[in-house]
Amino acid sequence: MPNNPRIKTQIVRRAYFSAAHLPYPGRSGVGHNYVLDTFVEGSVDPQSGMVMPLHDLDVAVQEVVSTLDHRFLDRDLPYFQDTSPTLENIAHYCFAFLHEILIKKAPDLVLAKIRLLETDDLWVDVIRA
Amino acid sequence: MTNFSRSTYSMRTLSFLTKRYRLSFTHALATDFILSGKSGLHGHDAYIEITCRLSAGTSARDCGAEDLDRIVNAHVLNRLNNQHLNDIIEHGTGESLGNYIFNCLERTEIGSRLHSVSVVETRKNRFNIEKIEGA
Repeated sequence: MPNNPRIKTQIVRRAYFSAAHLPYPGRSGVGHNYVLDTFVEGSVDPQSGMVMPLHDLDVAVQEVVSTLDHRFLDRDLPYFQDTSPTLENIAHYCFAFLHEILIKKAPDLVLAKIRLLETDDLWVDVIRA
Repeated sequence: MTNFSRSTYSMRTLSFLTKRYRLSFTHALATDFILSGKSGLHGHDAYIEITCRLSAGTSARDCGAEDLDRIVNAHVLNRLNNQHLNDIIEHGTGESLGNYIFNCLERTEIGSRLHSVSVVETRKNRFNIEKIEGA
């Protein structure tokens, strides 16, 4: 099926990780089960019928998630030595890291958005401007 | 007492109506065959979410949510529910399914208001097909 130039196609893939962080200096750490939604946009490949094989996207997402899963973010990740691992900052870390991976693996695709949920009723979206 | 009233609220906004429908199907993906050497035939109890743009001042009832049911049933569910996707849509992928549904609905009376189609295949993945405004 030829691509319709008037519409855009996105794959959205969900991944999970659990991590701890210090909400305030001097307090004990708190933990969350984070949910990471990755929105990748591109044209549908006429050979495969896919924007990107889900397996390839999973590998890219897991590369990011594996650096966060079961970690104490303030202590274990150099990125958060000078940056507080708030939900916003973790989301920016995920977006930047995923963007770097995808630009090497799939330069034709666009990382349109990531959504990071800390709980069911709290999340942050980072959208490509 | 609040000072809020319709006359003081002048911000321009957009409104959308989304309805969700259940769609069950089987399909086989070329990548499954490449990775495992097996046919990879499997199925999903998926959802599709159809989103229409509402005109200013209209409600979901004005938009014709019942019309949407009729159109989606006639043009999508009756054709695709409990079918083998590869027999109907090239490749049978979630992306192809979403594009197929979008193209079908765009040719109906809701076409001008159709904003997006999402195929929610599992709790971990979905495919969004969205109209590019102004294109």
